[in-house]
Amino acid sequence: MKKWKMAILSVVGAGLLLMGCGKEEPQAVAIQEGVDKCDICHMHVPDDHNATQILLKDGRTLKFDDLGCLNEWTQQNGRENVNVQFVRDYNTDEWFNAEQGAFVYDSSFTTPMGYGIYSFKDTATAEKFMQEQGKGTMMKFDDLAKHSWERSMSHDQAGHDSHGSHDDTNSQHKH
Amino acid sequence: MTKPLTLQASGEVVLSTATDEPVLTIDSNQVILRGLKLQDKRINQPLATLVIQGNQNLVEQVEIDTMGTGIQLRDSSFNELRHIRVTGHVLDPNETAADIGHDHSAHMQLTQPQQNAGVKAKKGNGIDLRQSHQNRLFDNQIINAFDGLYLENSHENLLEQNQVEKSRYGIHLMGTSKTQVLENEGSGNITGAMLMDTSSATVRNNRFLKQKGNPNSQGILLYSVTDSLLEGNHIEGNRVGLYVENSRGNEILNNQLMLNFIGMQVKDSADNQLASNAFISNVIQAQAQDSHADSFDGNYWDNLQALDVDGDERSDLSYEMNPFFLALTDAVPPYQLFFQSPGFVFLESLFASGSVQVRDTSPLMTPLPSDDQESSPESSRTQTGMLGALLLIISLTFIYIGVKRR
Repeated sequence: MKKWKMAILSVVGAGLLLMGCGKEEPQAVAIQEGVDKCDICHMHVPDDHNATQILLKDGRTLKFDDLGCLNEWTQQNGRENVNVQFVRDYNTDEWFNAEQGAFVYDSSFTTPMGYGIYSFKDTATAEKFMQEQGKGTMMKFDDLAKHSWERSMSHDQAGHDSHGSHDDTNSQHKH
Repeated sequence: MTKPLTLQASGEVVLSTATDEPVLTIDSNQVILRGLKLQDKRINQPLATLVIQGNQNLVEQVEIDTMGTGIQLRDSSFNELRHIRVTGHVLDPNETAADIGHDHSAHMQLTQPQQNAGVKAKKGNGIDLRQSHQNRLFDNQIINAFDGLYLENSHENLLEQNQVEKSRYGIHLMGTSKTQVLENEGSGNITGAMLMDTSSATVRNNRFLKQKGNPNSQGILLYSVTDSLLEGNHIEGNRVGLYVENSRGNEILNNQLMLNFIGMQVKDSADNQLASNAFISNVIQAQAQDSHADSFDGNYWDNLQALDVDGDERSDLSYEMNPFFLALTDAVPPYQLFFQSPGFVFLESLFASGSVQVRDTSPLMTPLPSDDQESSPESSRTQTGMLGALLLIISLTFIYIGVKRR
């Protein structure tokens, strides 16, 4: 009988302890370099300003090496199950909600998958960066939906398109 | 260097840098650079230790110790880089210099100032090509880099007999065409070769070994690759041996996939042909999702209960792989505990009909001999024979001499 009591008590205790968790602001999960893989392109995710992640409503975290891969995932899977989309500030590597950020695109910017978009926590630092570089297009989160998502290193766009049309993937590279 | 000069070291010549500029920049054509040592302790700089911006240059027998990228080629074509050694000196937090097999004195020299500054250095690539075509990289050795050989928007390059150790990816192609990757060796990397957005590549007789150190290690990964040939590669001990996604029209022939968790995984792909490959001792031999018109006929599967009635060396029972286990463990990883448990096998057979996407209708009875298998048992057998004969002769002589002396 004592054993039973102990078991019940420990279950209740554990339950009480767990009740303390939850109901917090969703937090971004740190990137484990060499372990985390991009859920779209399967490259390993470097722990730098290009890393992005999606927190799903079921608690799972999806990590991506490029903002473009995150976009690809939402294109494929929709946003119904997405809790938060996190991106990182170009200068400080700080995680923040993508909906509040500013984005700068130029085809010459290097990102792992060549989408060429850097994210900034506020418009001021983004503008400063654009001035320093002398190039770039500023976008807010809502503008990303209209963005072409062109890649600097893809010689056949269809190859990355998962919606079926693979017709021109066989075409040779024209150089 | 802005003129077509020949720079050759006699004895030991070490170049190092005190500024934020690269140690050496070749901004010319037809330069020959031979036998130098370059040391570079700059960290997190965009430019590499050696930067090449020109054509028809030859760099050979150069040793590079760097805290960033070893060599960069920018808009440079027809260059030859051979017998070069690039050692990256950025260590992971839990590593010591001895783990990398570093030359200790060089390592101390490079890392000392950086430790004081307290800035975290990021690894660079070994040899990094962008917009550079028809270059030849032969017999180079890369140790502890980010990506060993990185090619972006570069075409018709030849990578031959290079060795990459302890790096993230051995060979990384992004947006290339007609690249030839021949007889390279990767060891202790996270991924042997990563091919992305690439067409008409040839990947032949490469060996990617000892990649067990990482839970997500991959042998060869193809993403958005078309009309390429993978032949005679040896891929051992990865989470996924060969991963194919968004790819079509590739030929994958006579590769050895051994001791991987998943031998081969195919996703969203079509019209790929796989034949004469040997799948040996993989936990899950092969698996396909959302793929069609791929041909898996004529491979060797060591877990197949084969039956060859007509003696044509091909089994008359076909081999089928079921994505059930992988689909389930993908969703709930702890279910891996139930691998091969009776209940699981039963469930698997329930779901077997209709869901099979990997079917080999004529599996091989024995694996085709690959190059390294062919030569080694034969030569070792003769060696054993010779050794035996030698021992016999020696012992006979001793017995003879011993008897005689008495």
